[in-house]
Amino acid sequence: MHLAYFSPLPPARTGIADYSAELLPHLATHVDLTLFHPEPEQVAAALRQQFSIQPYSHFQANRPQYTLPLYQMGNSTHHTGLYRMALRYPGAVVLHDLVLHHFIEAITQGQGDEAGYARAMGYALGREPGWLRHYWQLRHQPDRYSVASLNQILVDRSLLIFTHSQYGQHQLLAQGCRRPIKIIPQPMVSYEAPSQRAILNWPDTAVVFAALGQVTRAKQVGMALRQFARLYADFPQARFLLIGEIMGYEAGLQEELAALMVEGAVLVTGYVPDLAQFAGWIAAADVILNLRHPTMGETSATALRGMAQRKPLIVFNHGWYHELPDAAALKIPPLDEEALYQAMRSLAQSPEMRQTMGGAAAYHIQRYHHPSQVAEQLTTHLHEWLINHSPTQPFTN
Amino acid sequence: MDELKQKWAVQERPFVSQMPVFGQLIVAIRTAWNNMSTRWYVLPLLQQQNEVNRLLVQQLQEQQQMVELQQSLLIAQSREQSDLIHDLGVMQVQLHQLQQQITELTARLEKVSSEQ
Repeated sequence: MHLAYFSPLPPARTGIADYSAELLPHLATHVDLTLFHPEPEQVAAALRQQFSIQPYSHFQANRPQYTLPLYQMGNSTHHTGLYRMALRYPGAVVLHDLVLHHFIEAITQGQGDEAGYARAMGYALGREPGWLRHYWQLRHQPDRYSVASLNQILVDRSLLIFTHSQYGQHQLLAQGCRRPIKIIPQPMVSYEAPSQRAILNWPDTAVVFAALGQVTRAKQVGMALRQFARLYADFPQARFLLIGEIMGYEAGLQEELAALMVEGAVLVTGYVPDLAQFAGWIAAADVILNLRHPTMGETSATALRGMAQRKPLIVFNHGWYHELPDAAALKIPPLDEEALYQAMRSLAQSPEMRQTMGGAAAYHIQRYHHPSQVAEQLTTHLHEWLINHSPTQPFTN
Repeated sequence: MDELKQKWAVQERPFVSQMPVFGQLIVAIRTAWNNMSTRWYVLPLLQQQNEVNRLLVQQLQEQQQMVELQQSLLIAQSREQSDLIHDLGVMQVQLHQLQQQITELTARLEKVSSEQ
């Protein structure tokens, strides 16, 4: 099998680029691979040495050489080119985000293409009577993202859909997906990196809570900091790390920290450019908070990275997070501040609990998320699909 | 459109007065004067305006239905287009598989020919 592999690739600032970098060496042991990228010369040198990387135009001219295309699709403009290829040349799609609304909005309305946005909304809502009025009322409402996922055109054209969770599969079936859907876990490897804790100059007894990845309002960092401030009053050894880029509310964050009077106990790292360094920051933490709300059905790579490094999690009990093992994650009702405080308090008080949950987290990652297993599962599903759609019986004699 | 459907008809409004004691008298005088001087003139205008309003609302409703119908047709076409592109994708994969089988068969034939 020769796959045409379309994905953002390092050094692009997206988790899906890291995902591909981790998966590709394992996938290459099962299938032949050619990677496609809008600007192959921009891809990290390590990948360029390992794989053939071609521009999209090469695929258009040589389509019959490849068994089928495989697209890694997410909800950001890093996927603009490959989305257009996926619509034109259907293939297997790994749907990292169920909701593509922000992406579609950015490439249509964001570029002045109102008609393109209306078309995507019409495609999603058009089965409902009076949809046009619904669209007109909805088009500037904040809840439009959850009402219309805008993945429908891509899903309808694709040959096979991969999702990372049962939640994703249920959502796709609920919206009437007619294509085969397979669940494959997100691959995750554990980086053994030296902890950055020493450079923090925090006491050895410090209990460090951390929020990972891009810091946006949807990560509920404000809520986490409020409850951290309560905890800090009782546990002066508690600390908080914000590991990642602050997206869009730097000033607001500084104000929140000052108002809560926890500036001395909180450190913001800013964007961390490479995975080894990122792993070093995770190693410095004792508990990972991953409080995304609302959830758009995404799988959190940063939560999995924390688990791979034996860190217990605190998450909201919804979406994909609900499927995490209870032994590794404290799941609290979404936006329940008191429940968050109690969860933080119980983990701060008990090193044994942190150790047991961390062990369960690492076991779960080793058991279900190793990239070699994921690559094997992906290849098996693709083979099955090919056999089911074979034009003739394979020539065996 | 719902608001328009409720408000298209312009209606006569009775005179009212908030003035204590003399209010009823003022209303009666104004009503009598209106009946005598302007009502016979304004009422046909009101009826004509209402007819225009009714027709406009009806036209707007029809236009909206036509736009929704056209949009529905476009969406149906988009869905059919998606299904056709999907089917074309399946056929592309099958074409690749057939090409591989032909290549394999050709190689076998060449091998058999060379052995003979």
